[in-house]
Amino acid sequence: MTRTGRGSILPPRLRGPSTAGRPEAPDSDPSAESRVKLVSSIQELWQFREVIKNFVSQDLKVKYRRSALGFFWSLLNPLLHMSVITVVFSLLFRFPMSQYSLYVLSGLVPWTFWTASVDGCCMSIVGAENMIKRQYFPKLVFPFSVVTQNFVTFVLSLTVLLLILAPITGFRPNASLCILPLSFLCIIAFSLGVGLIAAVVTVYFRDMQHLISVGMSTWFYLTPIIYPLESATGEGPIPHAYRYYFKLNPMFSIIQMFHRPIYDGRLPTTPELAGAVVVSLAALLVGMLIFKRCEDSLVFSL
Amino acid sequence: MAENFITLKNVSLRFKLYSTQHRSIKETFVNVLLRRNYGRPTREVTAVNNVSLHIPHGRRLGIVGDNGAGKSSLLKVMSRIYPPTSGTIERRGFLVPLLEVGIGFNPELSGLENIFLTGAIMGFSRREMTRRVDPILEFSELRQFADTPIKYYSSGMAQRLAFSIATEIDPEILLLDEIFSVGDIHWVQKAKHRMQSLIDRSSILVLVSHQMELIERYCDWTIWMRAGQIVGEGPPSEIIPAYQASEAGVQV
Repeated sequence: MTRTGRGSILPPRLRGPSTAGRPEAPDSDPSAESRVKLVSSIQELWQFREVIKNFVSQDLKVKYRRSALGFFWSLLNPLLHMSVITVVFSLLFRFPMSQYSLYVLSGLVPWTFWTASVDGCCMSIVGAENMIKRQYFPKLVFPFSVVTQNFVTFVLSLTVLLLILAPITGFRPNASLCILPLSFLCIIAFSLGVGLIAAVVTVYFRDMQHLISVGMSTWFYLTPIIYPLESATGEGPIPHAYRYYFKLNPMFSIIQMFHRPIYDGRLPTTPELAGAVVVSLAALLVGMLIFKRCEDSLVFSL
Repeated sequence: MAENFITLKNVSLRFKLYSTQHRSIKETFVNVLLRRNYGRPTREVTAVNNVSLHIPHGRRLGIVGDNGAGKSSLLKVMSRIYPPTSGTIERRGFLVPLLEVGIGFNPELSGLENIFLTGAIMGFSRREMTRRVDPILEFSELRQFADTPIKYYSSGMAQRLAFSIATEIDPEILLLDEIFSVGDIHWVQKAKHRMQSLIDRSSILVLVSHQMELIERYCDWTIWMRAGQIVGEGPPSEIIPAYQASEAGVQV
Protein backbone atom coordinates (compact mmCIF):
# COMPACT_ATOMS: atom_id res chain seq x y z
CA MET A 1 0.00 0.00 0.00
CA THR A 2 1.55 3.22 -1.11
CA ARG A 3 0.65 6.32 0.74
CA THR A 4 2.87 8.86 -0.91
CA GLY A 5 1.77 12.43 -1.00
CA ARG A 6 -0.22 11.90 2.14
CA GLY A 7 1.32 14.71 4.09
CA SER A 8 1.62 17.04 1.18
CA ILE A 9 -1.99 18.05 0.90
CA LEU A 10 -3.32 17.81 4.39
CA PRO A 11 -1.71 18.48 7.69
CA PRO A 12 -1.98 15.36 9.84
CA ARG A 13 -4.04 17.13 12.43
CA LEU A 14 -6.43 19.86 11.68
CA ARG A 15 -8.45 22.03 13.92
CA GLY A 16 -11.16 23.72 11.97
CA PRO A 17 -11.27 27.47 12.24
CA SER A 18 -14.11 28.35 14.50
CA THR A 19 -15.67 31.25 16.26
CA ALA A 20 -17.05 29.36 19.22
CA GLY A 21 -15.64 26.34 20.94
CA ARG A 22 -12.05 27.22 20.24
CA PRO A 23 -10.01 26.80 23.35
CA GLU A 24 -8.64 30.22 24.19
CA ALA A 25 -4.89 30.19 24.38
CA PRO A 26 -3.75 32.02 27.49
CA ASP A 27 -1.37 34.19 25.50
CA SER A 28 -3.76 35.00 22.69
CA ASP A 29 -2.11 38.22 21.65
CA PRO A 30 -3.93 39.14 18.43
CA SER A 31 -0.81 40.29 16.60
CA ALA A 32 1.02 37.09 17.51
CA GLU A 33 -1.95 35.12 16.28
CA SER A 34 -2.04 36.86 12.92
CA ARG A 35 1.72 36.38 12.63
CA VAL A 36 1.29 32.66 13.18
CA LYS A 37 -1.52 32.66 10.62
CA LEU A 38 0.68 34.36 8.04
CA VAL A 39 3.53 31.93 8.60
CA SER A 40 1.25 28.90 8.43
CA SER A 41 -0.38 30.18 5.25
CA ILE A 42 3.02 30.49 3.62
CA GLN A 43 3.83 26.94 4.69
CA GLU A 44 0.53 25.81 3.24
CA LEU A 45 1.34 27.59 -0.01
CA TRP A 46 4.60 25.64 -0.12
CA GLN A 47 2.71 22.38 0.37
CA PHE A 48 0.58 23.26 -2.62
CA ARG A 49 3.52 24.20 -4.84
CA GLU A 50 2.70 21.34 -7.23
CA VAL A 51 -0.73 22.85 -7.80
CA ILE A 52 0.75 26.29 -8.39
CA LYS A 53 3.30 24.85 -10.81
CA ASN A 54 0.52 23.11 -12.69
CA PHE A 55 -1.72 26.17 -12.81
CA VAL A 56 1.10 28.35 -14.08
CA SER A 57 2.28 25.92 -16.73
CA GLN A 58 -1.25 25.15 -17.89
CA ASP A 59 -2.02 28.84 -18.27
CA LEU A 60 1.14 29.45 -20.21
CA LYS A 61 0.55 26.39 -22.38
CA VAL A 62 -3.02 27.33 -23.20
CA LYS A 63 -1.98 30.88 -23.95
CA TYR A 64 0.77 29.97 -26.35
CA ARG A 65 -0.26 26.61 -27.76
CA ARG A 66 -2.69 27.72 -30.41
CA SER A 67 -0.37 29.96 -32.30
CA ALA A 68 2.61 29.06 -34.40
CA LEU A 69 4.37 32.18 -33.18
CA GLY A 70 3.65 31.17 -29.61
CA PHE A 71 5.48 33.36 -27.15
CA PHE A 72 6.10 36.11 -29.68
CA TRP A 73 2.46 37.07 -29.63
CA SER A 74 2.90 38.19 -26.05
CA LEU A 75 5.67 40.52 -27.22
CA LEU A 76 3.49 41.97 -29.92
CA ASN A 77 1.13 43.71 -27.53
CA PRO A 78 3.68 45.83 -25.63
CA LEU A 79 5.58 46.31 -28.88
CA LEU A 80 2.59 47.75 -30.73
CA HIS A 81 1.53 49.77 -27.73
CA MET A 82 5.00 51.22 -27.42
CA SER A 83 5.25 52.01 -31.14
CA VAL A 84 1.91 53.81 -31.20
CA ILE A 85 2.77 55.82 -28.10
CA THR A 86 6.21 56.66 -29.42
CA VAL A 87 4.93 57.81 -32.79
CA VAL A 88 1.99 59.76 -31.41
CA PHE A 89 3.77 61.45 -28.56
CA SER A 90 7.08 62.18 -30.18
CA LEU A 91 5.22 63.85 -33.07
CA LEU A 92 2.54 65.63 -31.05
CA PHE A 93 4.09 66.63 -27.79
CA ARG A 94 7.82 66.49 -28.25
CA PHE A 95 8.85 65.89 -24.69
CA PRO A 96 12.29 67.27 -23.97
CA MET A 97 14.00 63.90 -23.84
CA SER A 98 16.13 61.63 -25.92
CA GLN A 99 15.46 57.93 -26.50
CA TYR A 100 11.75 58.39 -25.86
CA SER A 101 10.94 54.84 -27.04
CA LEU A 102 13.26 53.32 -24.46
CA TYR A 103 11.65 55.42 -21.76
CA VAL A 104 8.18 54.21 -22.77
CA LEU A 105 9.29 50.61 -23.02
CA SER A 106 10.96 50.54 -19.61
CA GLY A 107 7.82 51.82 -17.91
CA LEU A 108 5.16 50.20 -20.05
CA VAL A 109 6.27 46.58 -19.70
CA PRO A 110 6.25 46.64 -15.86
CA TRP A 111 2.94 48.50 -15.96
CA THR A 112 1.46 45.77 -18.20
CA PHE A 113 2.57 43.16 -15.67
CA TRP A 114 0.93 45.04 -12.84
CA THR A 115 -2.43 45.56 -14.54
CA ALA A 116 -2.52 42.03 -15.93
CA SER A 117 -1.80 40.68 -12.44
CA VAL A 118 -4.50 42.68 -10.73
CA ASP A 119 -7.01 41.94 -13.50
CA GLY A 120 -6.18 38.25 -13.28
CA CYS A 121 -6.33 38.17 -9.48
CA CYS A 122 -9.73 39.82 -9.65
CA MET A 123 -11.33 36.80 -11.28
CA SER A 124 -9.01 34.19 -9.79
CA ILE A 125 -11.20 33.14 -6.87
CA VAL A 126 -14.52 33.60 -8.64
CA GLY A 127 -13.22 31.67 -11.64
CA ALA A 128 -12.07 28.76 -9.49
CA GLU A 129 -15.50 28.31 -7.93
CA ASN A 130 -15.86 24.78 -9.29
CA MET A 131 -12.60 23.65 -7.76
CA ILE A 132 -13.06 25.44 -4.45
CA LYS A 133 -16.45 23.84 -3.91
CA ARG A 134 -15.22 20.34 -4.55
CA GLN A 135 -11.90 20.17 -2.80
CA TYR A 136 -10.06 22.05 -0.11
CA PHE A 137 -7.56 24.62 -1.34
CA PRO A 138 -5.71 27.37 0.45
CA LYS A 139 -7.31 30.16 -1.57
CA LEU A 140 -3.97 31.97 -1.75
CA VAL A 141 -3.01 29.46 -4.45
CA PHE A 142 -5.18 31.17 -7.06
CA PRO A 143 -3.99 34.80 -6.93
CA PHE A 144 -0.45 33.56 -6.38
CA SER A 145 -0.57 31.46 -9.55
CA VAL A 146 -1.91 34.42 -11.54
CA VAL A 147 0.92 36.67 -10.42
CA THR A 148 3.54 33.98 -11.03
CA GLN A 149 2.29 33.29 -14.52
CA ASN A 150 2.23 36.98 -15.39
CA PHE A 151 5.69 37.40 -13.95
CA VAL A 152 7.12 34.74 -16.26
CA THR A 153 5.67 36.54 -19.26
CA PHE A 154 6.87 39.87 -17.89
CA VAL A 155 10.50 38.88 -17.42
CA LEU A 156 10.69 37.14 -20.77
CA SER A 157 9.13 40.00 -22.68
CA LEU A 158 11.20 42.64 -20.92
CA THR A 159 14.43 40.78 -21.69
CA VAL A 160 13.57 40.02 -25.27
CA LEU A 161 12.19 43.48 -26.06
CA LEU A 162 15.19 45.24 -24.56
CA LEU A 163 17.64 43.08 -26.50
CA ILE A 164 15.78 42.98 -29.82
CA LEU A 165 14.97 46.67 -29.82
CA ALA A 166 18.37 47.81 -28.56
CA PRO A 167 19.40 49.12 -32.00
CA ILE A 168 16.24 51.27 -32.18
CA THR A 169 15.90 52.35 -28.55
CA GLY A 170 19.58 52.77 -27.87
CA PHE A 171 19.46 50.54 -24.79
CA ARG A 172 22.89 49.80 -23.31
CA PRO A 173 23.50 47.22 -20.61
CA ASN A 174 25.08 48.86 -17.57
CA ALA A 175 26.04 48.03 -14.00
CA SER A 176 22.94 49.64 -12.48
CA LEU A 177 20.82 46.86 -13.99
CA CYS A 178 21.92 44.82 -10.94
CA ILE A 179 19.15 46.59 -9.03
CA LEU A 180 16.48 44.94 -11.22
CA PRO A 181 15.93 41.85 -9.02
CA LEU A 182 14.90 44.22 -6.24
CA SER A 183 12.65 46.07 -8.70
CA PHE A 184 11.02 42.77 -9.60
CA LEU A 185 10.46 41.89 -5.94
CA CYS A 186 8.87 45.29 -5.32
CA ILE A 187 6.46 45.11 -8.22
CA ILE A 188 5.55 41.49 -7.42
CA ALA A 189 4.81 42.34 -3.79
CA PHE A 190 2.77 45.38 -4.74
CA SER A 191 0.80 43.57 -7.46
CA LEU A 192 0.12 40.57 -5.25
CA GLY A 193 -0.92 42.76 -2.33
CA VAL A 194 -3.39 44.78 -4.39
CA GLY A 195 -4.42 41.65 -6.30
CA LEU A 196 -5.31 39.83 -3.07
CA ILE A 197 -7.63 42.65 -2.07
CA ALA A 198 -9.15 42.75 -5.57
CA ALA A 199 -9.72 38.99 -5.49
CA VAL A 200 -11.60 39.16 -2.20
CA VAL A 201 -13.68 42.20 -3.12
CA THR A 202 -14.70 40.64 -6.44
CA VAL A 203 -16.19 37.65 -4.62
CA TYR A 204 -18.56 39.96 -2.78
CA PHE A 205 -19.10 42.49 -5.55
CA ARG A 206 -19.00 40.94 -8.99
CA ASP A 207 -18.88 44.22 -10.88
CA MET A 208 -15.59 45.12 -9.22
CA GLN A 209 -13.52 44.19 -12.26
CA HIS A 210 -15.16 46.88 -14.41
CA LEU A 211 -14.38 49.51 -11.81
CA ILE A 212 -10.83 48.23 -11.57
CA SER A 213 -10.21 48.49 -15.30
CA VAL A 214 -11.51 52.06 -15.33
CA GLY A 215 -9.40 52.86 -12.30
CA MET A 216 -6.36 51.28 -13.88
CA SER A 217 -6.50 53.39 -17.03
CA THR A 218 -6.85 56.55 -14.95
CA TRP A 219 -3.94 55.46 -12.82
CA PHE A 220 -1.93 54.81 -15.98
CA TYR A 221 -2.19 58.43 -17.08
CA LEU A 222 -1.36 59.68 -13.60
CA THR A 223 1.87 57.69 -13.58
CA PRO A 224 4.80 59.05 -15.58
CA ILE A 225 5.08 56.35 -18.24
CA ILE A 226 4.21 58.04 -21.51
CA TYR A 227 5.50 61.37 -20.27
CA PRO A 228 8.49 62.21 -18.07
CA LEU A 229 7.89 63.78 -14.68
CA GLU A 230 11.05 65.78 -15.10
CA SER A 231 13.87 65.38 -17.53
CA ALA A 232 17.56 65.73 -16.76
CA THR A 233 17.27 69.47 -17.28
CA GLY A 234 14.32 69.70 -14.88
CA GLU A 235 11.80 70.32 -17.63
CA GLY A 236 8.63 68.33 -18.09
CA PRO A 237 4.96 68.57 -19.02
CA ILE A 238 3.82 68.70 -15.38
CA PRO A 239 4.08 72.13 -13.67
CA HIS A 240 6.58 72.22 -10.82
CA ALA A 241 3.89 72.86 -8.22
CA TYR A 242 2.17 69.53 -8.94
CA ARG A 243 5.21 67.31 -9.27
CA TYR A 244 5.30 66.60 -5.56
CA TYR A 245 1.83 65.03 -5.70
CA PHE A 246 2.82 62.81 -8.60
CA LYS A 247 5.61 61.42 -6.47
CA LEU A 248 3.12 60.32 -3.82
CA ASN A 249 1.69 57.80 -6.31
CA PRO A 250 2.97 54.40 -5.15
CA MET A 251 3.41 53.28 -8.72
CA PHE A 252 5.72 56.24 -9.36
CA SER A 253 8.50 54.87 -7.15
CA ILE A 254 7.97 51.34 -8.40
CA ILE A 255 8.13 52.34 -12.06
CA GLN A 256 11.19 54.47 -11.27
CA MET A 257 12.85 51.25 -10.11
CA PHE A 258 12.74 50.29 -13.80
CA HIS A 259 13.17 53.71 -15.44
CA ARG A 260 16.35 54.49 -13.54
CA PRO A 261 18.50 51.46 -14.39
CA ILE A 262 17.08 50.81 -17.87
CA TYR A 263 16.59 54.35 -19.19
CA ASP A 264 18.85 56.57 -17.10
CA GLY A 265 21.52 53.93 -16.63
CA ARG A 266 21.89 54.70 -12.95
CA LEU A 267 20.51 53.56 -9.61
CA PRO A 268 17.19 54.88 -8.31
CA THR A 269 17.47 57.77 -5.86
CA THR A 270 17.23 56.89 -2.18
CA PRO A 271 13.66 58.27 -1.77
CA GLU A 272 12.53 56.31 -4.82
CA LEU A 273 14.15 53.13 -3.56
CA ALA A 274 12.82 53.54 -0.03
CA GLY A 275 9.38 54.50 -1.36
CA ALA A 276 9.16 51.45 -3.59
CA VAL A 277 10.26 49.02 -0.88
CA VAL A 278 8.01 50.47 1.83
CA VAL A 279 4.97 50.79 -0.40
CA SER A 280 5.23 47.28 -1.80
CA LEU A 281 5.82 45.64 1.57
CA ALA A 282 2.91 47.57 3.04
CA ALA A 283 0.63 46.55 0.16
CA LEU A 284 1.63 42.92 0.53
CA LEU A 285 1.08 42.93 4.27
CA VAL A 286 -2.31 44.63 4.11
CA GLY A 287 -3.37 42.39 1.22
CA MET A 288 -2.36 39.25 3.11
CA LEU A 289 -4.11 40.33 6.29
CA ILE A 290 -7.36 41.17 4.48
CA PHE A 291 -7.16 37.97 2.47
CA LYS A 292 -6.50 35.75 5.48
CA ARG A 293 -9.34 37.41 7.33
CA CYS A 294 -11.85 36.68 4.58
CA GLU A 295 -10.38 33.42 3.27
CA ASP A 296 -12.60 31.07 5.26
CA SER A 297 -15.85 32.80 4.44
CA LEU A 298 -15.16 33.21 0.71
CA VAL A 299 -16.59 29.79 -0.13
CA PHE A 300 -19.98 30.82 1.23
CA SER A 301 -20.24 33.74 -1.17
CA LEU A 302 -19.29 31.90 -4.35
CA MET B 1 0.94 2.77 10.83
CA ALA B 2 -0.66 5.68 12.56
CA GLU B 3 -4.29 5.41 13.39
CA ASN B 4 -6.47 7.62 11.22
CA PHE B 5 -9.56 9.28 12.59
CA ILE B 6 -12.01 12.12 12.21
CA THR B 7 -13.49 13.73 15.29
CA LEU B 8 -16.18 16.37 15.14
CA LYS B 9 -17.13 18.25 18.28
CA ASN B 10 -20.34 20.30 18.32
CA VAL B 11 -19.94 21.16 14.67
CA SER B 12 -22.49 23.52 13.16
CA LEU B 13 -22.61 24.94 9.67
CA ARG B 14 -24.87 27.86 8.92
CA PHE B 15 -25.42 29.49 5.56
CA LYS B 16 -26.71 32.97 5.05
CA LEU B 17 -29.04 33.12 2.12
CA TYR B 18 -29.20 36.33 0.17
CA SER B 19 -32.19 37.29 -1.88
CA THR B 20 -29.93 37.87 -4.84
CA GLN B 21 -27.13 35.48 -5.51
CA HIS B 22 -24.39 37.96 -6.31
CA ARG B 23 -24.30 41.51 -5.19
CA SER B 24 -22.78 44.30 -7.16
CA ILE B 25 -21.41 47.62 -6.08
CA LYS B 26 -24.01 49.35 -8.20
CA GLU B 27 -26.89 47.50 -6.53
CA THR B 28 -25.49 48.02 -3.07
CA PHE B 29 -25.13 51.72 -3.79
CA VAL B 30 -28.69 51.99 -5.09
CA ASN B 31 -30.02 49.98 -2.14
CA VAL B 32 -28.29 52.21 0.35
CA LEU B 33 -29.61 55.30 -1.42
CA LEU B 34 -33.18 53.98 -1.53
CA ARG B 35 -32.90 52.46 1.94
CA ARG B 36 -33.81 49.04 0.66
CA ASN B 37 -32.27 46.06 2.34
CA TYR B 38 -32.06 43.57 -0.50
CA GLY B 39 -28.38 43.10 0.11
CA ARG B 40 -28.81 41.83 3.63
CA PRO B 41 -29.12 38.15 4.36
CA THR B 42 -32.79 37.24 4.28
CA ARG B 43 -32.62 33.83 5.82
CA GLU B 44 -30.15 31.72 7.70
CA VAL B 45 -30.11 28.00 7.09
CA THR B 46 -28.52 25.58 9.51
CA ALA B 47 -27.19 22.77 7.35
CA VAL B 48 -25.35 20.98 10.12
CA ASN B 49 -26.61 21.47 13.64
CA ASN B 50 -24.37 20.69 16.59
CA VAL B 51 -23.03 17.37 15.36
CA SER B 52 -20.51 15.45 17.44
CA LEU B 53 -19.09 12.35 15.88
CA HIS B 54 -16.00 10.21 16.20
CA ILE B 55 -14.96 8.09 13.25
CA PRO B 56 -12.21 5.68 14.30
CA HIS B 57 -9.68 3.84 12.17
CA GLY B 58 -11.25 1.06 10.11
CA ARG B 59 -14.77 2.42 10.28
CA ARG B 60 -17.03 2.20 7.23
CA LEU B 61 -19.62 4.82 7.90
CA GLY B 62 -22.81 5.24 5.91
CA ILE B 63 -24.90 8.39 6.19
CA VAL B 64 -28.61 8.17 5.39
CA GLY B 65 -31.28 10.83 5.43
CA ASP B 66 -33.68 12.72 3.22
CA ASN B 67 -32.60 15.36 0.74
CA GLY B 68 -31.53 18.49 2.55
CA ALA B 69 -30.81 16.65 5.79
CA GLY B 70 -27.24 17.93 5.76
CA LYS B 71 -25.43 14.78 4.63
CA SER B 72 -23.43 16.37 1.83
CA SER B 73 -22.74 19.47 3.91
CA LEU B 74 -21.30 17.24 6.61
CA LEU B 75 -18.97 15.63 4.05
CA LYS B 76 -17.88 19.07 2.90
CA VAL B 77 -17.14 20.11 6.46
CA MET B 78 -15.08 16.95 6.98
CA SER B 79 -13.08 17.68 3.84
CA ARG B 80 -12.46 21.33 4.88
CA ILE B 81 -14.32 22.74 1.88
CA TYR B 82 -16.67 24.51 4.29
CA PRO B 83 -15.13 25.75 7.51
CA PRO B 84 -17.60 25.06 10.34
CA THR B 85 -19.48 28.03 11.74
CA SER B 86 -18.81 26.69 15.20
CA GLY B 87 -17.26 23.60 16.72
CA THR B 88 -13.99 21.85 15.98
CA ILE B 89 -12.77 19.12 13.69
CA GLU B 90 -9.72 17.01 14.28
CA ARG B 91 -8.46 14.68 11.68
CA ARG B 92 -5.52 12.48 10.83
CA GLY B 93 -4.94 10.85 7.48
CA PHE B 94 -4.69 11.64 3.79
CA LEU B 95 -8.23 12.44 2.79
CA VAL B 96 -9.72 12.31 -0.68
CA PRO B 97 -13.21 13.67 -1.21
CA LEU B 98 -14.96 12.11 -4.21
CA LEU B 99 -17.97 14.36 -4.07
CA GLU B 100 -18.28 15.22 -7.70
CA VAL B 101 -16.22 13.82 -10.55
CA GLY B 102 -13.73 15.81 -12.57
CA ILE B 103 -12.42 18.63 -10.41
CA GLY B 104 -10.29 21.09 -12.21
CA PHE B 105 -10.26 19.63 -15.68
CA ASN B 106 -8.98 22.20 -18.10
CA PRO B 107 -10.75 21.57 -21.42
CA GLU B 108 -7.92 23.13 -23.44
CA LEU B 109 -5.35 20.68 -22.13
CA SER B 110 -4.86 17.09 -23.22
CA GLY B 111 -6.00 14.12 -21.22
CA LEU B 112 -2.45 13.42 -20.15
CA GLU B 113 -1.86 16.97 -18.90
CA ASN B 114 -5.15 16.85 -17.03
CA ILE B 115 -4.01 13.69 -15.27
CA PHE B 116 -1.04 15.60 -13.89
CA LEU B 117 -3.16 18.61 -13.01
CA THR B 118 -5.75 16.56 -11.14
CA GLY B 119 -2.97 14.64 -9.44
CA ALA B 120 -1.39 17.89 -8.25
CA ILE B 121 -4.71 19.10 -6.90
CA MET B 122 -4.99 15.87 -4.94
CA GLY B 123 -1.50 16.35 -3.56
CA PHE B 124 0.79 14.30 -5.78
CA SER B 125 4.00 15.48 -7.35
CA ARG B 126 4.73 15.05 -11.02
CA ARG B 127 7.06 12.16 -10.24
CA GLU B 128 4.49 10.38 -8.15
CA MET B 129 1.91 10.83 -10.89
CA THR B 130 4.22 9.63 -13.64
CA ARG B 131 3.99 6.04 -12.53
CA ARG B 132 0.22 6.30 -12.17
CA VAL B 133 -0.31 7.57 -15.72
CA ASP B 134 -0.11 4.14 -17.33
CA PRO B 135 -2.64 2.41 -15.08
CA ILE B 136 -5.00 5.39 -15.47
CA LEU B 137 -4.83 5.34 -19.26
CA GLU B 138 -5.13 1.57 -19.19
CA PHE B 139 -8.20 1.48 -17.00
CA SER B 140 -10.00 4.35 -18.68
CA GLU B 141 -9.31 2.82 -22.13
CA LEU B 142 -8.37 6.29 -23.35
CA ARG B 143 -4.74 5.71 -24.25
CA GLN B 144 -5.24 6.63 -27.89
CA PHE B 145 -6.83 9.93 -26.83
CA ALA B 146 -4.16 10.82 -24.25
CA ASP B 147 -2.90 13.74 -26.33
CA THR B 148 -6.33 14.99 -27.39
CA PRO B 149 -7.61 18.08 -25.57
CA ILE B 150 -10.38 17.21 -23.12
CA LYS B 151 -12.82 19.49 -24.92
CA TYR B 152 -12.98 17.00 -27.77
CA TYR B 153 -13.88 14.18 -25.38
CA SER B 154 -17.46 13.02 -25.06
CA SER B 155 -18.85 13.64 -21.58
CA GLY B 156 -18.71 9.91 -20.97
CA MET B 157 -15.03 9.81 -21.84
CA ALA B 158 -14.25 12.76 -19.57
CA GLN B 159 -16.09 11.11 -16.70
CA ARG B 160 -14.29 7.86 -17.33
CA LEU B 161 -10.98 9.65 -17.13
CA ALA B 162 -11.96 11.50 -13.97
CA PHE B 163 -13.12 8.31 -12.32
CA SER B 164 -9.94 6.50 -13.31
CA ILE B 165 -7.72 9.24 -11.87
CA ALA B 166 -9.71 9.52 -8.66
CA THR B 167 -9.65 5.78 -8.06
CA GLU B 168 -5.98 5.31 -8.88
CA ILE B 169 -4.85 7.10 -5.75
CA ASP B 170 -4.71 5.55 -2.31
CA PRO B 171 -6.62 7.63 0.21
CA GLU B 172 -6.53 6.83 3.89
CA ILE B 173 -9.85 8.55 4.38
CA LEU B 174 -12.29 8.26 1.53
CA LEU B 175 -15.37 10.48 1.38
CA LEU B 176 -17.92 9.38 -1.21
CA ASP B 177 -21.07 11.19 -2.19
CA GLU B 178 -23.22 8.63 -4.03
CA ILE B 179 -21.43 6.21 -6.28
CA PHE B 180 -20.44 7.25 -9.73
CA SER B 181 -22.04 5.01 -12.28
CA VAL B 182 -21.63 6.25 -15.79
CA GLY B 183 -21.32 4.73 -19.23
CA ASP B 184 -22.21 1.40 -20.70
CA ILE B 185 -22.79 -1.82 -18.81
CA HIS B 186 -19.28 -3.05 -19.44
CA TRP B 187 -17.90 0.09 -17.82
CA VAL B 188 -20.25 0.00 -14.84
CA GLN B 189 -19.07 -3.51 -14.03
CA LYS B 190 -15.42 -2.46 -14.26
CA ALA B 191 -16.09 0.65 -12.19
CA LYS B 192 -17.76 -1.35 -9.44
CA HIS B 193 -14.75 -3.61 -9.03
CA ARG B 194 -12.41 -0.68 -8.93
CA MET B 195 -14.57 1.15 -6.42
CA GLN B 196 -14.58 -1.94 -4.22
CA SER B 197 -10.80 -2.14 -4.30
CA LEU B 198 -10.49 1.59 -3.57
CA ILE B 199 -12.77 1.18 -0.56
CA ASP B 200 -10.77 -1.84 0.59
CA ARG B 201 -7.54 0.14 0.44
CA SER B 202 -8.83 3.08 2.48
CA SER B 203 -8.78 2.88 6.24
CA ILE B 204 -11.86 5.05 6.74
CA LEU B 205 -14.85 5.29 4.44
CA VAL B 206 -17.66 7.81 4.73
CA LEU B 207 -20.41 7.12 2.22
CA VAL B 208 -23.48 9.22 1.55
CA SER B 209 -26.09 7.43 -0.50
CA HIS B 210 -29.79 7.09 -1.13
CA GLN B 211 -29.27 3.52 -2.26
CA MET B 212 -29.71 1.46 0.88
CA GLU B 213 -28.21 -1.65 -0.65
CA LEU B 214 -24.93 0.24 -1.12
CA ILE B 215 -24.87 1.24 2.53
CA GLU B 216 -25.65 -2.35 3.50
CA ARG B 217 -22.91 -3.71 1.29
CA TYR B 218 -20.11 -1.32 2.19
CA CYS B 219 -20.76 0.03 5.66
CA ASP B 220 -20.53 -1.37 9.16
CA TRP B 221 -21.96 1.68 10.93
CA THR B 222 -24.68 4.12 10.01
CA ILE B 223 -25.82 7.52 11.08
CA TRP B 224 -29.19 8.92 10.19
CA MET B 225 -29.52 12.64 9.71
CA ARG B 226 -32.55 14.85 9.77
CA ALA B 227 -32.53 18.66 9.61
CA GLY B 228 -28.80 18.83 10.21
CA GLN B 229 -28.83 16.64 13.30
CA ILE B 230 -27.94 13.03 13.95
CA VAL B 231 -31.18 11.33 14.95
CA GLY B 232 -29.99 7.74 14.95
CA GLU B 233 -26.73 5.84 15.04
CA GLY B 234 -26.03 2.13 14.86
CA PRO B 235 -25.30 -0.81 12.58
CA PRO B 236 -26.99 -0.62 9.16
CA SER B 237 -29.25 -3.54 10.04
CA GLU B 238 -30.92 -1.40 12.70
CA ILE B 239 -30.83 2.08 11.21
CA ILE B 240 -31.89 1.34 7.66
CA PRO B 241 -35.21 -0.36 8.56
CA ALA B 242 -35.96 2.44 11.02
CA TYR B 243 -35.17 5.10 8.43
CA GLN B 244 -37.23 3.35 5.77
CA ALA B 245 -40.13 2.95 8.18
CA SER B 246 -40.16 6.64 9.04
CA GLU B 247 -39.88 7.55 5.38
CA ALA B 248 -42.84 5.30 4.59
CA GLY B 249 -44.73 6.89 7.44
CA VAL B 250 -44.24 10.32 5.95
CA GLN B 251 -45.41 9.17 2.55
CA VAL B 252 -48.58 7.57 3.98
